Amino acid sequence: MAKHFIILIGGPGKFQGCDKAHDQTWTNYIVPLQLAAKNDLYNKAADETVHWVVYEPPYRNRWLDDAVITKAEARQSDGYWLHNTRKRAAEKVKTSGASNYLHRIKLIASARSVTYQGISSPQEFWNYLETFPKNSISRVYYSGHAAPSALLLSLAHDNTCGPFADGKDVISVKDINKNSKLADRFVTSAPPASKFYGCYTHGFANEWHNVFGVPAEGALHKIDFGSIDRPSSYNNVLERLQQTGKPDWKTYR
Amino acid sequence: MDKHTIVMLSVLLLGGCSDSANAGKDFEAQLDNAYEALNLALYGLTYPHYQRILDDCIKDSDESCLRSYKRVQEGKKSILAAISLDEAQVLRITLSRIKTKCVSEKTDDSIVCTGAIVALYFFDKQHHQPQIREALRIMSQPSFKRVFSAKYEWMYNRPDPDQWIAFIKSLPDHVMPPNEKKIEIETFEKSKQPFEKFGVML
Repeated sequence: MAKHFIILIGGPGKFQGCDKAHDQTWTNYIVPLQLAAKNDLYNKAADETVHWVVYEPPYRNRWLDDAVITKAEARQSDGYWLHNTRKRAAEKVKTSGASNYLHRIKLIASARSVTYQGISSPQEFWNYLETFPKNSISRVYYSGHAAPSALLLSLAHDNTCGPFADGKDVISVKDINKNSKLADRFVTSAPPASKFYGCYTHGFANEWHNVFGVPAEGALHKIDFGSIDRPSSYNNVLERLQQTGKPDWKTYR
Repeated sequence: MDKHTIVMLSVLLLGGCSDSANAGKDFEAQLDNAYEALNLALYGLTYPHYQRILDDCIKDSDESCLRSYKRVQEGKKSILAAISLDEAQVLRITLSRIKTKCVSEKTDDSIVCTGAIVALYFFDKQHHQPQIREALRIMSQPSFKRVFSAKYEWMYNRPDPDQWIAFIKSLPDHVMPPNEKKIEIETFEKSKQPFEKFGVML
């Protein structure tokens, strides 16, 4: 029977010059998965199909911000030309033949034989899992922002430049148990671990393991997505995320 | 008492003498600001959600984390100061915000919604509980769902968890399906045991 490997991809916030630590580039949560697909780092089984489930609203908003709104921007108080960085990102996407960020992700997915599924609400992620037959989901990955209480599928900033998620854009730890009926969708015979690449996802991974009865992994501390763009002794980009800094990667099995 | 709180109290006291309508609006605006701050305790990206994270944050002098923590602390002080002045009014406004803001699609409203739900943590006296339960009982489904959408701190400091469990059991299945009732009942049960402090408790 065909197996399905689901990867949920969260999105970036809008570019914020005041928050140098988050989402200076729109590609943070895509590039690790793109590289993993390109270099066969998923250790994909022959009967496994990879699905990218992309939370689309933040990519749509960021595109509007980077490709349209930035044209009106001027030099910032810190001397930084915001629009240059963002325009460059948008133009690179256009040069690649894509019409916007989501189109670019779809083209990458297609080139790597990955099934693309866009979603506009967190509930649609659960709905998508439910479409698969029993005993067919081999594992689930996540790439994006997170907090101990939830996967944060999008990011916003308050008037003090504090980053936060809107409660409508999250998958909370509690949601796992609410969807416990999906346990029968997972492969029961020696499934590979589900992995949650986000800060403080260990509680989410633990609950995933408890409710769905499959091995799961997550970070006790922060994940450094910036490590993707820096030289590293870890050639495997997914392993790099698990090891760079002090994420203290936890396994529940 | 911090500057923010003093300003709010001054507005309240002066408002009583000069322009009570404007003072009331200012009072609600100050509460909304506090709710926005409390939203960070649940969904703030850099907020130290547990003591060990706060310890690291202080040790590493993590500016973003400390700023987020400070903002939540200020929000807590504002709410508590307001409660000390007129707890009935603050509870009424808090429940009203949950009722109206949690149905909105706007992020600005959603932040206030989450923060107001977090603020229920501060209404932990026995006499608050019937009013909260009654408000929930007649609340629209979207707002009601948000109140139980996450691991909120308020579920861990109820003075009468057994009454809350009875409330959950009494809800029609179309309001809260049986599997979700089980989850919420377990949470109220857990609140009777020792647990690690989190979120706005810090």
